[in-house]
Amino acid sequence: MSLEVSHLTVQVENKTLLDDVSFELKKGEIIGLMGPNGSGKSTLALTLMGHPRYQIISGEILIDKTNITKFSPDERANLGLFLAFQYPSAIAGVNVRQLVTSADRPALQVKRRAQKLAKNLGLDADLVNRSLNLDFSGGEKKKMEVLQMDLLKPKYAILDEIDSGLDLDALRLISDSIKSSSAGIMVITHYPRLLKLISPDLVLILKSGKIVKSGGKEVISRLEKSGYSKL
Amino acid sequence: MSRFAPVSSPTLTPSADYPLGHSDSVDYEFKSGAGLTEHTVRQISAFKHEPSWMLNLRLSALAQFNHMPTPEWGGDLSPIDFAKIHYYLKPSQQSVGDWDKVDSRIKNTFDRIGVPQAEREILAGVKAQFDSEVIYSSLKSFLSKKGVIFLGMDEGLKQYPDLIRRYFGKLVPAGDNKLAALNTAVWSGGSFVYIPKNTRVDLPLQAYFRINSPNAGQFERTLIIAEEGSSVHYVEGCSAPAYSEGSLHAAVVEIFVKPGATVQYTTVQNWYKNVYNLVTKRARVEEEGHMRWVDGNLGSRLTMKYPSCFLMGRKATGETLSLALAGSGQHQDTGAKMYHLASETSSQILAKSVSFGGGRTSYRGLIQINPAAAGSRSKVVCDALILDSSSRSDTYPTNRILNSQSTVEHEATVSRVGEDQLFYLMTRGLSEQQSETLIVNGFLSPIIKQIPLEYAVEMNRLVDLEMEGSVG
Amino acid sequence: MTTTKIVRAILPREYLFKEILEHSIPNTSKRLNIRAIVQNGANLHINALIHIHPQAKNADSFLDIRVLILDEKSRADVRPQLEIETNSVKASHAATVSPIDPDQLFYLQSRGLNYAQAQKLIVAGFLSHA
Repeated sequence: MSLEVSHLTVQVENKTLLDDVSFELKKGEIIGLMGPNGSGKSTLALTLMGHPRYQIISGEILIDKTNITKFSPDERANLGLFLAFQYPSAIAGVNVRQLVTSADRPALQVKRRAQKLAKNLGLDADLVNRSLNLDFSGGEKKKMEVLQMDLLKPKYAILDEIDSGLDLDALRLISDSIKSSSAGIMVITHYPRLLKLISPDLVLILKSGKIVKSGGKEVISRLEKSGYSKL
Repeated sequence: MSRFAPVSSPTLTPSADYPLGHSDSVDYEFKSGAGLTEHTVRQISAFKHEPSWMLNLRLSALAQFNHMPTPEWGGDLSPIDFAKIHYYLKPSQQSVGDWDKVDSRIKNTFDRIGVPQAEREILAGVKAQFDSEVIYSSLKSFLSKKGVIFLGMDEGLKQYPDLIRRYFGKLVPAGDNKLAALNTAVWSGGSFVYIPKNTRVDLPLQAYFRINSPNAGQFERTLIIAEEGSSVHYVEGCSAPAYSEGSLHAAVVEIFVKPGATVQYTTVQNWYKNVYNLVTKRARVEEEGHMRWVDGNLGSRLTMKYPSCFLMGRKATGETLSLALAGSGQHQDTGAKMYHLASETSSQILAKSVSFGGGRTSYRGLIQINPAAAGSRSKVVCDALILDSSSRSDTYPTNRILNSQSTVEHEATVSRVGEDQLFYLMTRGLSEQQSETLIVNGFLSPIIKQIPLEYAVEMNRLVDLEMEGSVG
Repeated sequence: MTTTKIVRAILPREYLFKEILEHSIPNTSKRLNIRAIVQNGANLHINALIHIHPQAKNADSFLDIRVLILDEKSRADVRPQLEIETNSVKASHAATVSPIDPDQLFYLQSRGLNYAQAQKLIVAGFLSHA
């Protein structure tokens, strides 16, 4: 059971943003993805989720052996993939519960769970009733993404810079959420802080669209000592 | 349009005006010939046994109608042939049609939005109604204890002719515009509401509680008088598609808001796509009075409607919340007008529209601040969503400020559904169409929130239905 | 590309200011600010239209009209209009008509300027602020 990315090359308007990227995210494991600004981390996240702006030139993406390379975003979501956005959209007049309520997740249940999760994440319970992300602070938006992940229970989750804008307490709450999840999780981040809290099984470094380093926790310590430029 | 009443025609037999179901089946075989003549108008008035002052009003209105040109500034009215229309149709007292002959699109819509079977047949003009008798009678006694009058306009004229004479046509005289002249000449049905001083009516008065009264009137005339300090919420219309034989609807609504009174008038209109819906709605608001129009326009081929407020007294306020949805073959030309004629008055207009499948929405509004209206404020916000490249949206506001101590703000935005928003929702497992529908409903929600719950639920479902197949 | 147009309606007569932002080819962006003062019994009419044709994909259009009415006898009639015939657009307009903000006036006067000086400063700032 895994999310496999195999020799993925991605372009936007003829500019190559990802070059021959491969990795496997197994269910229950945690991969940390780091890299300097502009290295292609968000491009990878959005491409995996099927954003129309990103063109896959070659390579494929498989969820549990199903080739999803040409699937629409909702089809991928329905197969158990989740993306916590770096910049979540604000949707006027739509609250978070409406996104998540469906045949399998009836409204009343969603409401109760959402309120409980909000409390656990240190969010004002009223936020689950308001227009999603409209006038929310940076930290509130990130927590809302985590709340959705907890409600949707995906098999594979990509968290794009979930730690930006969060204080230490919030960071701890989120890392607890990540550690207790049974999903395969890819944590994309700039800073070693979050990764040190969650102990990833694998750490990848992305630079100029290529994976330049892969290893265990020691990759993080080396990064802290010498930065990205030495890689 | 009354939910419980037959759809196809206006007015009723005099005997049916008496409440509590004493409807003798006095059966008047009357249907006017086509075209609008003095003879037709006299017949209508005679048939209703009206006082002579009303007949005179009708006749002079007819003369004005004949002299006025058809307006050309709004939607396209040229296809209307006034000579071919029947201006007075006998209502159906028993089954008049065959359910099987009803358009399958209408039937499907009823299914989707959950309209109960009995109501479907009524709405489709197939069956007359008498079931609401029980509800009606208990409502009547509740209201009459408070001194509230709530009758069909025809019955109101019989029971309270002097009261009506004081107000009828004073806000919207026949000479106001061609369609008002038409309505004044041939009006039939509508509601008469009178709320005494300092009386609050907490439950919304809904047109469908008027048993056996003029229903999907083509030419309804409504008059609401709210005395000092009173308050009422009147709801007209129905979100289920209303099929009508008459293709021209020209209604007039006049509302008098006395000092300190509060009135909300909510309309949800979803006429079938052959109807020209041309309505004049006006409120006169006195000192510290509050008027709010909530106007939902989903159907018809062309709607021209601009609920307005004349703010006559100090600190009077007026508000219009307007919602318009235009799909293929539809043109919603809607908006609001606010006239500030006294000091410290304020007005607000919020207009939201969605056009798709080649539909066209046009916002048309006027804010006028007269010299005497010092210290007045007005804010207008118009947001339009255009879902595809074949559809269209226009905004035509006029802001006329005639003093130097008032502020008027106006903003309008036209946009399409954001790609990022769509993507975000799809990543949560919603299909492209579900995502678009959710966004459209969210966009309209500030206005739908002001509509009584059962209409709001139907409206949301109707928006969903209209959206189906609009993606791509 | 933002353009600002200044209108000074300062004589006791009718003024008509018309402006059309037309988008008829794809990928055009137009942003217009109109700043007007109305004084001395002037009557200013502003008619401004943004018209986006069906073939003008990716149009980006913005119109901002601000009018300051400076005295009792002056008037303004502002009609910002939109005619949008395609959905691949970002179009918005705003129009505000108001007198001088009394709080601003007070603030300047508390710094020693008399009414005329304060008004002059506010108007100058208003006309130059895009």
